[in-house]
Amino acid sequence: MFRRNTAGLSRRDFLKSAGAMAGGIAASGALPFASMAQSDMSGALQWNTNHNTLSVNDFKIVIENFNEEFPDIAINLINHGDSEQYYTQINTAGVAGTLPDLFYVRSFDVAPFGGRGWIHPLNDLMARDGMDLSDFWPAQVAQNSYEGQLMTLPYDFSNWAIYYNKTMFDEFGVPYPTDDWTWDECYEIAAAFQEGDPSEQTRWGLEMHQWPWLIMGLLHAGGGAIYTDDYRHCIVNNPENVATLQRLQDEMAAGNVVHRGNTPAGLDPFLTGNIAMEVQGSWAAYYILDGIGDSFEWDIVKFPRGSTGLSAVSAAGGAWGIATNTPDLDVAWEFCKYITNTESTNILISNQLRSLPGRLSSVPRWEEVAGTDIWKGRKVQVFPDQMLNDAINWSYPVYQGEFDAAWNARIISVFEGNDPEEMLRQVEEEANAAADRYFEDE
Amino acid sequence: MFNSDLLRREAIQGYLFILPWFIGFVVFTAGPLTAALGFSFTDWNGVSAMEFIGFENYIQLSQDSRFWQSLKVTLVFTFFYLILNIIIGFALALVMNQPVRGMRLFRTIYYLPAVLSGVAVAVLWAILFHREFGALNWLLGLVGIKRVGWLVSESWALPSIIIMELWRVGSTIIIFLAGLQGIPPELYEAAEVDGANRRWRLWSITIPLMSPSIFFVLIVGFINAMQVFTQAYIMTRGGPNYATFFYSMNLYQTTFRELRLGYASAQAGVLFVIIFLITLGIIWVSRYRVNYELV
Repeated sequence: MFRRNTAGLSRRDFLKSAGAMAGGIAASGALPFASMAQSDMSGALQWNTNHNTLSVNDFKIVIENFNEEFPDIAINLINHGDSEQYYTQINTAGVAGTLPDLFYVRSFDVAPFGGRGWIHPLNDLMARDGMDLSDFWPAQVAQNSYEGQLMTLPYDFSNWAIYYNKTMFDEFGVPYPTDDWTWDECYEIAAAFQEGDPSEQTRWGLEMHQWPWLIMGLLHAGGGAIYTDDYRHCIVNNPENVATLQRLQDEMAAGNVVHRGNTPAGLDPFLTGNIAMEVQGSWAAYYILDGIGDSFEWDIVKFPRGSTGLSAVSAAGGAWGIATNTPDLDVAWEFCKYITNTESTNILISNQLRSLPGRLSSVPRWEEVAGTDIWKGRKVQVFPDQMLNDAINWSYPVYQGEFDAAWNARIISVFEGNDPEEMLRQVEEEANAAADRYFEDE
Repeated sequence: MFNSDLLRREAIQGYLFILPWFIGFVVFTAGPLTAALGFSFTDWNGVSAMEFIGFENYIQLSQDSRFWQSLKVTLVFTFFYLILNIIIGFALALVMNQPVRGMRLFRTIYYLPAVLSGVAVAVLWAILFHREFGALNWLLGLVGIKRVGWLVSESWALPSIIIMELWRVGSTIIIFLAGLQGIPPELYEAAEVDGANRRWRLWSITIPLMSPSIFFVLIVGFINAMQVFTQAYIMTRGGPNYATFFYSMNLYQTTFRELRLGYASAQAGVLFVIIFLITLGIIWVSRYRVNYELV
């Protein structure tokens, strides 16, 4: 059903080729704008983002760099920290035809936004400027495309792994997990940290998020499908997925696994040392490093393999889309290219290990930072490794938003004991009702 | 002649004074209301061409389980919240109407939550309600009560939001307190002379004379409760399993997430009719139950 990203490259080979690519690009002078004279292009752009304060500081640095080469292009940056507010603003502006010239688009939104004609297809512009796709993650190219057109240029690309508290493992005498482990082994290890009546416990083995795109990977590793090959129908209600969710529910009932539930932002039980292992994304590494400080030792291990023996981790990312209502496409395209070139990607992503860079030529810088003392040898490299060898090369359908809404409304109830099959039946029904609405005219 | 000119000038000035409000009403209330009514008969996502589909959206609403669930959740919330808000607010107002030293401080303390932002209150209570790390379960644990999944249990999520809202009973207390202080003390003195005990004085004097205040709280509370949104949006996102999926959450999701603007307009129209009819019903009942004689 889904193509996995099995390029057959070893990490060493990949890094060599990525490094060579970066060197080649730099040597040929194709690193856009790195040594360019000032341009006389002029205009004003509205750039809307959905990030935290640290990222915004880096956006400002990139704007300053851009303005050194394009002094007559004014960039007005507006950041909405809250995702819900950001997407409300984007949806409202989309309907009103007043979208910002350039704005943040997640993998899940490429198809819906593309289908509504809100973002400008980029194939012609890329062909005009001699850009190709070889410097982007293949899975992200698939996710950023709609009806054969690349719709957005990548910013970052993320996947999931397990962060674990080494100090707690040492205290309990539990060996550290290894990268070839399975979900069965993960649950077994989690059980070692659970004590007493689940209704009274204060420490858990593993914390699991409820996000659909995370659990979609878990389901896939268990042999279950989510969508048909053409993404026109949701088929999430199948015995394999029921079994995977049932197992997760059993582990939660036993107190081995705890879900994030409605934990408010800022309350992270892994950082406070209440959880031995946490399923977390690649974007979390830098704030976990900062949040834990010297409180305890920790490390990262690959996402476990499922019952099929398959190691499958969901990948999704962020990118920049140019609004179709932008009055000056060339100016918007110039800025979009600039903020996604290798140099800018290094500033925005790789210098802090803020998830994985959207460009492969930025990975060597990422690796360089990952090898510095600040990371104390922690295996953050599992993220690019997984992206090459374990990431599921799938896209998200135009009705992913409706799937997410149906999933988010019901998954907590399954974690709390509701029938997984009934939940999957309802999610499938609601997602397919949405799919029918999108495809009814075809 | 002079009087007529004066009256005309006074009328013109009056109209000029209400003109800003009237323009605002037409542009921001009546206009959108009328437009929404029109949209409700269309299939429109705000981007593609608007297609007239007659009553199709209303027919679809009647078969939409999400619509019925959101209506049920909202009505259950409104019913229990209103009753408890009035009872607790009234009881606390009676206590705070006593001439006790330091009472102003207590009034201030009780009113403080009412002036806090709804989002801040929701975030605060989401932390307090957290099953594993919340203060509420920690307190219950001290007396041997096992953890309650306040916001993650289908049966507890809605009561949790009601409890949180009741914490903000301060506004109701203020209204009732004002009403209580408007009751002439001579009535109590006369009743006392006639031998009425405390319970009879409450039943025969206080409650009848407080009926306009109770009626006001009922009407305003009902209209607000039917449109509750922030609390569920922040704390539960409508879950778990749609247990806190209020009507406004449904409306928001249909509008801003699914961009089904025609269908959302039909939902808004139905909510308007429901609120309008029930409010009319309450006003009709009030003609027989509300005592305005001494107000």
